[in-house]
Amino acid sequence: MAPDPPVDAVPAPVPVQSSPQPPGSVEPGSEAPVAPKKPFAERVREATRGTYERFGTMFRRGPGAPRKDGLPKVNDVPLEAAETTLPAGGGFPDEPGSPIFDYRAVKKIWRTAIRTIFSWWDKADQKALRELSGDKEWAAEVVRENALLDSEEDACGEVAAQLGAYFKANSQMMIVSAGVVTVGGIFARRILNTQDIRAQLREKRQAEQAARDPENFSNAK
Amino acid sequence: MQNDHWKGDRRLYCGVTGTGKTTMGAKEFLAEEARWHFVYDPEELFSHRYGGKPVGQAELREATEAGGLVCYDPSIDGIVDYTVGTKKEPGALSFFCSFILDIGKSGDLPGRKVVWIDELDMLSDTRSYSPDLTGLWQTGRKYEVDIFAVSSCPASISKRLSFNFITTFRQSPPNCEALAPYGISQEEQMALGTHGWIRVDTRTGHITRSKIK
Repeated sequence: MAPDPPVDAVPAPVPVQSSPQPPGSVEPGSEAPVAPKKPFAERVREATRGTYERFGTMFRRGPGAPRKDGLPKVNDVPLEAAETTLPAGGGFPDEPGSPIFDYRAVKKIWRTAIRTIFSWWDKADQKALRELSGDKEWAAEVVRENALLDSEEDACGEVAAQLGAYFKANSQMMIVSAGVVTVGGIFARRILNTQDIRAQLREKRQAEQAARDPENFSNAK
Repeated sequence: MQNDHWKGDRRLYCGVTGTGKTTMGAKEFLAEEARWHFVYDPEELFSHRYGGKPVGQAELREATEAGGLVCYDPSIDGIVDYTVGTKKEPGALSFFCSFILDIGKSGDLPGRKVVWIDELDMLSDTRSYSPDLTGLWQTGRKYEVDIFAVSSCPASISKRLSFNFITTFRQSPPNCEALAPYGISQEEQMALGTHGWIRVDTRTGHITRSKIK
């Protein structure tokens, strides 16, 4: 025989009988929480995880032959939990001294790249001007006047590094595109400057022509 | 997500080499409306001929996310065993079948999946039992998985693998016997021209005769 319950025991709460609701109906003010739909890639990954585990495919193989002992190579990337197993835990380390994104290194690399590009460009420019004008000193002076500014070098590296750090997801693309945009800006500045150089060159030619053949030159004018 | 009302489509194209079974099968396969066209493509034979980017195991997920034509080539991963393998050491086809069945079983990824397997007789045989291949064949119907297979030797295909439609081209005598129960005589199979074919609907017994134009 079961013992009697104690008198001061708290009675169990009686569930409130609610009227049956038709399926799909929602009581006003108590909307059922709708779980956010996962991204499609995540759904595929979750669905096929079992197969990959069963067949032991845990790595995206990097280039090169697989190791003889079957262990993953240095450049094999894990398929599952790839982000956490990568250096820096899949995060974007933008603090100074990070092995993945070195702010100073990006600046330095871009500054060097810009210097190299424009040093080559200046040489070609000077050669072309010398051939056109026939005046070596004048060509050298024009190129010197139009030379790359220190501020431009710094700005290029700075913009690339800042954008790379800001757009963390596509940092490499941003670094490259920022650099390209800055190079474009320098070229644009130079093209504007060249308006004066062109005018100078035109005047120089006219002067030369006038000196060579004053009569024809005045007629043509 | 199970769809018990889905009428599974299992087609077999068989015949001797050079009769056009792969050409006709691939044409029908690509014309099917489906969310995914999965192709088992060892050595990139299908993708080389009909397009599509062959992928290995690691990239198969990304290709599946993109949808459309998904060509799996086990040789990319250096897998030598293209067959279903054994229970202890399953081959690449087992992985492929298991992958598709997982996609089908997931309630979050509805949609018709059409699977293409070329030279089925080379990948499975009548003696070994592959739970993954037969699983895809038998339970795949509930998950909207339809299979198109090609074989030059239908007599070597496991009896566990049944078909709704069998399209036969000119056959060699041993394989004619395998199709005789469906009402196609050996003489008729051997007398087919270069591109002539006979299609049997194994559910109704209806027979269609025609020729590739």
